[in-house]
Amino acid sequence: MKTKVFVFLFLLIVLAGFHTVNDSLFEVPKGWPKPQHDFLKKPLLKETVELGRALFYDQILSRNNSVSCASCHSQYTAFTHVDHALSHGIDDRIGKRNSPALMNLAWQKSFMWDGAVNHIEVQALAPISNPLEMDENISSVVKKLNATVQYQKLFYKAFGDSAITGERTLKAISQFMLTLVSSNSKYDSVMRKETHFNAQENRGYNLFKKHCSSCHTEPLFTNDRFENNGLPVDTSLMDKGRYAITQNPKDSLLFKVPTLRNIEFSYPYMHDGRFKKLSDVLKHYSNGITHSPTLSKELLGPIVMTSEERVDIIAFLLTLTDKTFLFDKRFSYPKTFFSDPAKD
Amino acid sequence: MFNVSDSGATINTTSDLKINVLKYYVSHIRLYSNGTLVAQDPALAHLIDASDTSSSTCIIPVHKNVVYDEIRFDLGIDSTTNVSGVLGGDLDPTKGMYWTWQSGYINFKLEGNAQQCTNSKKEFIFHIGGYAHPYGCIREVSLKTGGASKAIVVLELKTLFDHIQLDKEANIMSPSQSAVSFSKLLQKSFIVKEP
Repeated sequence: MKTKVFVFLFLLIVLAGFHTVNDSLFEVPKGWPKPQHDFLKKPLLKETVELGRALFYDQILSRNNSVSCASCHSQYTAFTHVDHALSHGIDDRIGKRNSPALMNLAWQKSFMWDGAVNHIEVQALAPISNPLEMDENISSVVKKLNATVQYQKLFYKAFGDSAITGERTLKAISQFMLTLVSSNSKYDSVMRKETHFNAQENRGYNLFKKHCSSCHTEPLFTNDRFENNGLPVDTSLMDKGRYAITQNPKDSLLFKVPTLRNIEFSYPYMHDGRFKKLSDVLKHYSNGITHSPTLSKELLGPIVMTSEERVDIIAFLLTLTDKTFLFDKRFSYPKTFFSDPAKD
Repeated sequence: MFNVSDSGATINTTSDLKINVLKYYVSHIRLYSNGTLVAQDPALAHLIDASDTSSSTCIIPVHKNVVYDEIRFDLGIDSTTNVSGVLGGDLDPTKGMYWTWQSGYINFKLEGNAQQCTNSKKEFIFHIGGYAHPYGCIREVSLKTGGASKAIVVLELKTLFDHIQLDKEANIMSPSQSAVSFSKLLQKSFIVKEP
């Protein structure tokens, strides 16, 4: 009997030791749910993440080497395209949607506003190939990377040989994206009992839990589902969201519920960026809901909020700003890589 | 061996038809004897490309003395593989058989020109794929054989073209009911020849 207890303890130690290995690249914040991404099957490697970071910031991914992922996903604005309702890509071509903010992607089941992408490893194919974004194709990207000595070195470090393939290129980009975890806002500090909300933030938090959290569920501030949030259809875009992917009428006008983390910096808001300010967003939810057959059941009844209450909710939403994330050097432009003369 | 080079001869019976691209995935090749599985292909999938004859040979390791009377394979890529992230080799997205605007493999690509097409370029484009319900397009093909060590599996394009109406539908490029119907036609268009 004693032997059995001893064995059990030994196993615990092994498991604890294993977890520390990946800590610097990816860690599940305390109290957060289990990520969707299978890190045991597809573990992060430092060298692959570094390669992915270089690719994320490199314009080589676009047809004429003019735009990078970061062009529409800038770190300082929570990895989205600030100021542009509809993001613009190559040759100033205007896209059809607002670029999503990139963070906590390891917890997402699907990607893009309509869930068109089923795995983070294949996500980058969409913007690389979209004629309104990078207008390139992955075979051509691989050819360009093969012709760059610096990348041959990075691929060698990441994969053990210098073969550059579509699989490896996409995998590396996804590994970098998986490291983008935002979990150090004031809200998080309050949850960790390191600080307190002020009176207004506290009122806002309570109102938030009453009116918003069924879809924008803590701690990720999204339920990772698709909902119709009652926006009147923009007749120039005629974007039906998830319907385009499933062709199921029940999915008409449904879009991915976005996270609210770092929302202070991820304006403008909604899939088409129609609202510039958070106050516009809250006015929409209190007075602007358009009823249609697929409207989210959470919005069937009116959300009654006074203007003071809306201000309180905004005060709470600002506590979701995570400056550590927005200025984290691990996620920023890799200057050393791009200043290497071998790069060109 | 998946015979694609012979398809030109078959096509000649239909006039004014030109094939520019013919590529498709074959996966889970299995050999059966009296309905019992006796050997299976260890590879995840093979991309058969008519423009590259070397792509058409699939070698299945078989134990000595194994006899078989049936070949089964899947035309296309299964749903598990479709949701497993990025893959390499024949499944690398650089092979041009992966959709970019949404996730998923294109199981079968056929492009060309025909007089019956009503569009200005007289062009047809069939990109058949889709792994999710209700537009799953993977199809199991089952062919009885004499059990020779080399079997030639032929895609009879004539059978296919006899059943599609290019004047009515010359483009299928997303998972849809049309793609499902097309995949069922493909399923019936294979025959086996033994040398």
